Amino acid sequence: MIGVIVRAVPDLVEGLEIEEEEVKPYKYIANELDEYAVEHAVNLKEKYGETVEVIGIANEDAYDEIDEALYTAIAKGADKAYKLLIPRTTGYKVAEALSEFLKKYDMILTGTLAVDEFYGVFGATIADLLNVPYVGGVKGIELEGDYAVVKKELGGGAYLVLKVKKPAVFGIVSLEKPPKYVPFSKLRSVMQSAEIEELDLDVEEDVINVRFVEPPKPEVEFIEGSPEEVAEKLVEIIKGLIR
Amino acid sequence: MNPCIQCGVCSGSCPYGESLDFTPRMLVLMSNLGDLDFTDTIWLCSSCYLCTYRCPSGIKITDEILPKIREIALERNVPEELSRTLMNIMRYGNPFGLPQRERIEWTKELEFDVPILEDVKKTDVLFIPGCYGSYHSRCKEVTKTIARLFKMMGVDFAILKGEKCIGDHCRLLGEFGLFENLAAKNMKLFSRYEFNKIITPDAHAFNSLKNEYPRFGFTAKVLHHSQFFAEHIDEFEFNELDYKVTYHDPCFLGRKNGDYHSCRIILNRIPGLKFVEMKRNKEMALCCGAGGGGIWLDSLVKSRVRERLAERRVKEAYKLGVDVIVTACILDIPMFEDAIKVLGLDLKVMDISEIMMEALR
Repeated sequence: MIGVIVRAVPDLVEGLEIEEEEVKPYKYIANELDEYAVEHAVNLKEKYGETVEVIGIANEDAYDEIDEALYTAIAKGADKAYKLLIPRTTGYKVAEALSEFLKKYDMILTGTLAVDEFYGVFGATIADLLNVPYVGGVKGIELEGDYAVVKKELGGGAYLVLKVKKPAVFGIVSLEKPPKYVPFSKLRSVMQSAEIEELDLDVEEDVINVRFVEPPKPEVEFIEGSPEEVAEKLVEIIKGLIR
Repeated sequence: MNPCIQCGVCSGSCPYGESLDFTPRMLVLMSNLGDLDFTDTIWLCSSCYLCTYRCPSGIKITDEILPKIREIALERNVPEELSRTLMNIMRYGNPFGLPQRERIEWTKELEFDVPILEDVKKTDVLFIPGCYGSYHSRCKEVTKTIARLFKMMGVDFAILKGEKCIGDHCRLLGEFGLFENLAAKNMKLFSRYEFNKIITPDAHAFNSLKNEYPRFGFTAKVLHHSQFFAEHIDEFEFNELDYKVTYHDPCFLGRKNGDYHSCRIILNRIPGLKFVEMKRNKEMALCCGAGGGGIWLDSLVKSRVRERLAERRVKEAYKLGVDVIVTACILDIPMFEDAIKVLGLDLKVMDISEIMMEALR
């Protein structure tokens, strides 16, 4: 059975309100690489008949917004969806709270990174707590008995093929084929028929200090005039910089 | 079951006919037999309406047969460029994946304030620029020109900051659920305010608002901007323009909605303008390739056809030795300007409103 973790993250298209002590997103959305993880999982279901469960992670503000991503996962083929409400906390505390629940899966997929977690430690933390292997930067997964054969991206088109004994955790970074499209009417009918089970797990609050520091704005000057005039002024400025 | 006589006029009319794995005639036959087969060339149809217009049995190939097959294709394999676009429309209400709050940013580039209907509550003309007119850098120039013309004419108009994609392409792509959802959202927004008519420069938005939204109970009067300006043509005093121009009939203004005259009335009123017709004009006009989602499927189209429709069309105009190709659908502009750049031609594309403004300077 495959478990996929989908995190609600700030929707960077809609933007953020940045104050000195707080970052307030206008809207939340499922982390893109986590959606890729769903895609890999449902492809594995199609190919090997695996069961796929999706676990949504969202704070209070995103708790309703994560539903759409979970229903979309079901429309794409996932068998069940859960969601977990988290306080203001770190990925470590989330992994800690979830680890017991995640023991039922022989493969756990999530995005290598999230837009609010660039260190790529979430998947690795889960693997560490479960004492199972972790591979990040994964772009392809095949199954061979008790093993998963994964392609780990190395950059520049190169990749590594690894044979990993299950259970294991994989951090997904990209897709090998375009994501499935879920027509609106199908999403609607899933929303009406499927249910999302809420996970009753205690996630510890953790301190996150947000302090927004803006770098000094560079002085910008537009040089106008004919190419000769512009060139002349530019030379003067460069001379000034050299001195 | 439709009364298809398998004459094949549709297949012979299709401008992408030679590139289709299954011609329109075969698709109509298969849908009659209930035994469908299709490949990714199902996405090539740019909803030009030629097949429907010429069908002797009056079969709605563009509006019904194709979208119904595409509805099935949507659940199988959708080209990535299309699935991303549709997801953007679903999430953000526009194909670009840009935030809703940026929809009215174009108004900041004007020298006067544009009334927002959410604030003023009441207006004579509700101006719907559509997604391209609101977000696309070149198309925004047309939107601003229309706003300036309205201002000059003293039109009482306003725009909506909550406007969503009108959805005509979604409908033609077989994404009926999304189309209905967009229509419901837009109609709910419209119902909160008072206005007498809608004016839009997007021939597809015009078509959906005029012919499709009424299915859901929408009753407002809808005009294409060229129709509004043609109606008020006596209010303009044009200066002489020393251009040779031709006019491209947008499929969804012309063939679909029968208006071939509005733009020609306007062009004939501009003194000095030398107006020549392209060989394929009015009901015979060649499509720009944007419709039915074509504007979002450039890579797929290029991989399957010898020459894009827009490229064929600008060549046709260029051979006439014109300076400007005048259009009236906002989607024509990026399509034709791209084609002109690809072919390296010396030709300008102007919306009907832009040539009017040029003659008013």
